[in-house]
Amino acid sequence: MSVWSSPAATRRGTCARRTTAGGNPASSSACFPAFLNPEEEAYGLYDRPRVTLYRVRFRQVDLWPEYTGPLHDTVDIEIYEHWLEPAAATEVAS
Amino acid sequence: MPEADELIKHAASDLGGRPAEPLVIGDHELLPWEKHCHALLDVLDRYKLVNTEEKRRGVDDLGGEIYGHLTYYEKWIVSAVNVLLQKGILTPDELAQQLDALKAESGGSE
Amino acid sequence: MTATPMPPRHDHGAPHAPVQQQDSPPGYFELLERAVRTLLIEKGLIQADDIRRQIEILDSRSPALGARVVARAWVDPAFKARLLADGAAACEELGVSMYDDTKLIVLENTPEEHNLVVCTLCSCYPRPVLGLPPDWYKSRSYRARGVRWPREVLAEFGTYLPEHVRIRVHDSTAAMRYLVLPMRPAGTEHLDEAALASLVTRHAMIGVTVVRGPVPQGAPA
Repeated sequence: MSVWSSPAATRRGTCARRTTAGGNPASSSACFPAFLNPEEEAYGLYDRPRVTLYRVRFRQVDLWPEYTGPLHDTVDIEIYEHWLEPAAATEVAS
Repeated sequence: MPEADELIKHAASDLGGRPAEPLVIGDHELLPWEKHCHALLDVLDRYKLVNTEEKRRGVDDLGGEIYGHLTYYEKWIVSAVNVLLQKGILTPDELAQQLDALKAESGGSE
Repeated sequence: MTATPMPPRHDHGAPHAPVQQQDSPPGYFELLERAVRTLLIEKGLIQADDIRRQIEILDSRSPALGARVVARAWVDPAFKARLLADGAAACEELGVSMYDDTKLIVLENTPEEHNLVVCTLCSCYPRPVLGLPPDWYKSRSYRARGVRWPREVLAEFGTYLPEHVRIRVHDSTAAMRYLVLPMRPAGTEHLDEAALASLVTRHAMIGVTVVRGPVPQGAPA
């Protein structure tokens, strides 16, 4: 999977609204096509174009400044495609 | 007091990563009305009268103060009521009349 | 008539006061639930049977189902492979249907990796295979801290993992549900599937604990 940087802003939309790590490189661990956009589903809109859902993995130390656990601890977050931006080449994590 | 925009940018439910008190590792057996409430919301989702995302959005729309104050299922039923009213599936009048009738039957609290 | 004694107001994650008497008058929120249900049935938008059937479904699900799935995965490597590839389909093999159309992702714990499931935004939980989530899982404390301070939260459950074990936290949303496949403890080679299942706790399938082997005869608990 490609590597994405995540948007800085939070997104409206019920369970879809979450604090995403601004600009942190991450890897995507899985991809699931064709979900209703929860921001539209939250208002009963069922006929809009579907979106792809990604599971995006972050290192804890990259998300939280004072994380005291080991470097290899991670968190997987579910992020819809329209909240993601493609990483610049220099931001691609190894 | 947080800045006004901070109150809006984060939904009441957006708790991930915030400092919080230590866990109370507790549970309770659902009160009968809570089980009815859970079943009702499952049925409302199946018929798309109030889908799960609408319910969640309705809970967020309650705002932080109510969110922190109401129990889990209290938030569910208030959210469902608000969404049903917003969609015109129920009207305030018929809800009020039904509540009055039920209170009279059961001597329930205001 | 006296008002219904309500549980004390506090963080909604804390345990409630003892269950109300059945004959005490209903509180405001209970009345709302009844009013909505009654009106929607009157309008023909839902049926009373729908509610009854859904309560039966809720009552039929408990961690014992998840424990059976775990035990089967421990004794049957081919089943385990199918479970990790498609959790819902594998559960169906054991007669456990995903009644809510959610996708089930099973997370395998290994000696190098431990998985923990949190729903930071609400209470997403693999209800078809575990029943209803406990209050602590839905609490502000767990939802806020599990994703950022997992090792501290695990310690509150008495679970201490060495630093060489990687902790993967999984934040759940509407569409996915997660079930942790705990490691089979040592000293269980002689146990049959039912005995293995009896060792598997809800806590272990959420990821806040590991599964302990049986206590040897005569040893302190």
